[in-house]
Amino acid sequence: MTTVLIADDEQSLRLLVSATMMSDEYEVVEASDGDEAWELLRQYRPRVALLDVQMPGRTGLELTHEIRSDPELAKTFVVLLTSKAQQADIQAGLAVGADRYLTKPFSPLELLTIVEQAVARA
Amino acid sequence: MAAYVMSDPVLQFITQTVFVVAFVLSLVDCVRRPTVPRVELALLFGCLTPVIVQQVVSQTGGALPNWLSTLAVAAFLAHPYILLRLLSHFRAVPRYQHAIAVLALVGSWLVVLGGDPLPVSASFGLLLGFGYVEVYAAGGFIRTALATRGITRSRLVAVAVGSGCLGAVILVAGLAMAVPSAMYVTQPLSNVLALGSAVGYYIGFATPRWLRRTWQRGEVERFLIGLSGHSAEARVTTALDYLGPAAARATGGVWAAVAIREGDDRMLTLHVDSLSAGVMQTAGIDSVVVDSQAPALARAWREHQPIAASRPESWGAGLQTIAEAVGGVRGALIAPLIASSRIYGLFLVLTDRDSPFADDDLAVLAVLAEQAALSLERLRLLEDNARERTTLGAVMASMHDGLLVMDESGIVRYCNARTDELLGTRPGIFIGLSRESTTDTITSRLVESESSVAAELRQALQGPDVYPQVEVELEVAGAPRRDVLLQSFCVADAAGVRRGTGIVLRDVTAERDLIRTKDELVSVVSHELRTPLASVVGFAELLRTRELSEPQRQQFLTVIAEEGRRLTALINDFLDLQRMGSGRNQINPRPARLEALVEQAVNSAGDDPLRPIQVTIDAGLPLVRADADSIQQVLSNLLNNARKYSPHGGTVRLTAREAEGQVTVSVQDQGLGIPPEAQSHLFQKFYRVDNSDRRQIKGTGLGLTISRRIIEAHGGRIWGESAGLGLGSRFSFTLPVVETPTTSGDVLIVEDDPGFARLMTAEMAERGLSAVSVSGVQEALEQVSTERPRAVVLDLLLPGADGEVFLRHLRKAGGDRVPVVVVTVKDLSADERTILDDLGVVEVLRKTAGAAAVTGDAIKQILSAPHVRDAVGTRR
Repeated sequence: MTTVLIADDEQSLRLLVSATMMSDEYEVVEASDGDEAWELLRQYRPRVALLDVQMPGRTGLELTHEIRSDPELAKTFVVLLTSKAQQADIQAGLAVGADRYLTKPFSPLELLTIVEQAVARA
Repeated sequence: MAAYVMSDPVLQFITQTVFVVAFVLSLVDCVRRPTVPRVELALLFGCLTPVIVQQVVSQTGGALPNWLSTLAVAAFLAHPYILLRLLSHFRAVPRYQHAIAVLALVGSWLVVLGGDPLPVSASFGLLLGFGYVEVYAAGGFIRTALATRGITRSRLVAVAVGSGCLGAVILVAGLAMAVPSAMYVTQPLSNVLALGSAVGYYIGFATPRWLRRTWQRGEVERFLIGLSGHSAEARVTTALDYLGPAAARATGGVWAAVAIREGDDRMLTLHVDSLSAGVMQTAGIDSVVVDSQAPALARAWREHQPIAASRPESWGAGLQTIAEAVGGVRGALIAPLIASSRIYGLFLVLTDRDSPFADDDLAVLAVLAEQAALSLERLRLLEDNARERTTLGAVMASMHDGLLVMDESGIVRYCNARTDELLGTRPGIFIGLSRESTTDTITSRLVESESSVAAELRQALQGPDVYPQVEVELEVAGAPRRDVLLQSFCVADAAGVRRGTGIVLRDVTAERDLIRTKDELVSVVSHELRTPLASVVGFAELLRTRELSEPQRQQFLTVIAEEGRRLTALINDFLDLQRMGSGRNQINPRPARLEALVEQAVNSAGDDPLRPIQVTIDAGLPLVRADADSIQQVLSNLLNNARKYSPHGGTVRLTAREAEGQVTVSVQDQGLGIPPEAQSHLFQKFYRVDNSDRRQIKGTGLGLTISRRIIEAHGGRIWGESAGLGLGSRFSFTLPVVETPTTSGDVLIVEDDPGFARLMTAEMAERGLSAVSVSGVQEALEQVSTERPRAVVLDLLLPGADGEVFLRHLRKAGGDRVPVVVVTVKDLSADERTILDDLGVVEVLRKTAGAAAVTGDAIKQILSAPHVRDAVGTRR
């Protein structure tokens, strides 16, 4: 089982990710804000973290930075989810060490592919 | 007789010469411009000349034939009579004085022609008559002189001296006859008096040019001194006030005015002093027209020449009316006011005499007119200049932009109020400041005073030749931040020479806000819209690609539907906001019953047993001014919020009460409450309280923003309160109350539903009509007969009365021509309609929502139709 964290303040989006990952291969943990996400990251050490850029508490960018600074979490595959698709935001995300970037609305199948690749690469 | 009078040869010679010169001068004048006074003047000196000739002849040893000597004496005797005639040009001479003079003349002629030698008594009587008339005339001239002013006065004094002396000569001659032994006294006295008489007459009647000039100069100088005093204020009107009386003074006129061209070429506005103003007001004259109908004025106007006019009846209507109003006018002096070969108007002086001296006065008036015109032109230029400066100053002071002007050396010379407002500086503080201090002051207001913008601003303000524009954010204590665009420009004169630097400060906050709003839109489209869209697209794709159990399918479809609805709500809210921001969403407040609005909002909120809505509205709540749809939107928003943020249920209380001319509506819930730090942001666009207890509650963050815009457009206020988290919230707003007069009215409303009656009263008031409403038939009939309304609005279904019967009573009660509009919930049959038409019902309206406004329109239209106005006439 690969643990996947989804952190987003929108319940419907978390539900979408859970539904997409729904299989025996994945265990999905959900966080509705950045601080909860950090707790779950520390607790579950997920292989893949899907982080909303704009959410209450820590933002996706802050979380990414903390993940990369934490030796125990540094290898987490980080995918940022955002509604923004501007070059500056993508640069900022990649600068703090995100692996991939997904812009809402995204295709669940594309998300699945990304997660599968991340798992395969590990 | 003359032999007694003059014996000393030198004195005699001088006297004779003066008289003869005066005669020649007056004769030349008379021949050149013959008028009655001039002819008389020539005669006055003429009648003395033969005696003088006779004397000269006798002194040289010759002798005239007897009949010639007699004629010379006869001519001499005519002197007093002619003098009296001359006097009559200056003042009214009683008929009996004329009679005395004629009698004395005829009598003396009879005596002289009738017999030789003269009896002593006859000679004595003759001398007495002669002397009396002469002295009377002298007195007349003296009195006229005292009553008049200007050169005329001086001349009249001289004439009076002349006549007085001549009279005295005669009296002395009489004395010499009576007491021959006093010869050694009477002889020299007589000689001196004769000379005095000659000089007096000469100065008075044939004034030498140099003397005239001197007198004229005196008058002009006095005038100019006065004028400069009255020009000190640099106002044309002050000078005009002075000119009239001053001219009257200088020329001995009884009335004077300056007639100034204002606009229309031929229409001259009269400016008179305060004394004459009353006369003019009584006569209703404030202007004269220069045209062929006013020959005297037209000539002066056309020929640019001063003229003296007599015979008022020939002056044309305008001037003649003035003359009649002034009274006793016999002459007019008119001089054009010309400066820079442009004619400004006319100087008008009316005199109470047809003076032989008019030429002098006219000459003075012409000079005065010239000076006055120059002065007026100068004052006009000054006034124009001042007005231009005032206008320019007002324009700069009222500009929406700040304006700061520095001279060539960089010293601030002008700074308008807007600049001080934008920079939060004390008015006038910039005046006199150097460029550096000014730059420091402005830079100190920058939000980021050390940034590159500050450096750019310094460069822009200090650079002498480059005039770029810089946009900065300014922050002033006690005011919100402002985006200000600073632009400097070169102040150059007409020749292109640089005179200084100007700086315009333009508040572009609104424009920047607009841009920020547009940026926000982009942000919303990308964030707020993309999030629900992600769910819709994502679940749709899962549904399309996965084998799913039915419960899962249903769950996913539900999410899609919910998120779709959320998208719709967002788009709707957003469009509302945009419309309001651009002013396209027309809020049209009308008198409305709040009760009805609340009822509708509560109904559309629907039932929720966990969160019931409890409504408390004060009885007798006045009408409010409200746009029904918008206020319902606000009420719905507040009620929905109250329920939405009460996840555990609780009663929602809606209350409405009146206080201080407005109605306050509050919606109180027992829900989550609002943390204190969030309370100030509640009405901001897209703001949502971020707390874990409400993260699941969906919303656009626009509802309260929209509500605030709506309420503020109504002139009301909206606010939210909460004691804190978990303690519920209360949102309140105010609406203005409609003022309705209720005592008596143009329109009588017969209506038993007080709510609807109030609404209609308010609608009538909106249209400038007062209305009184009654609920019963009896009252209505009383009102019709006592108050005589101009129109009646009738509800057909009054309790205990038939509308038809009422209408018949109404017609009988005196309202036979009052237009009646029927408002009814009834569906009228064709027959019923015919009956109403027969009873003179003008219009039948259905009592539906908005019926009050429709009725108001109908009444307004009926009452403004001309035939109704005529038929009904004016009430009271």
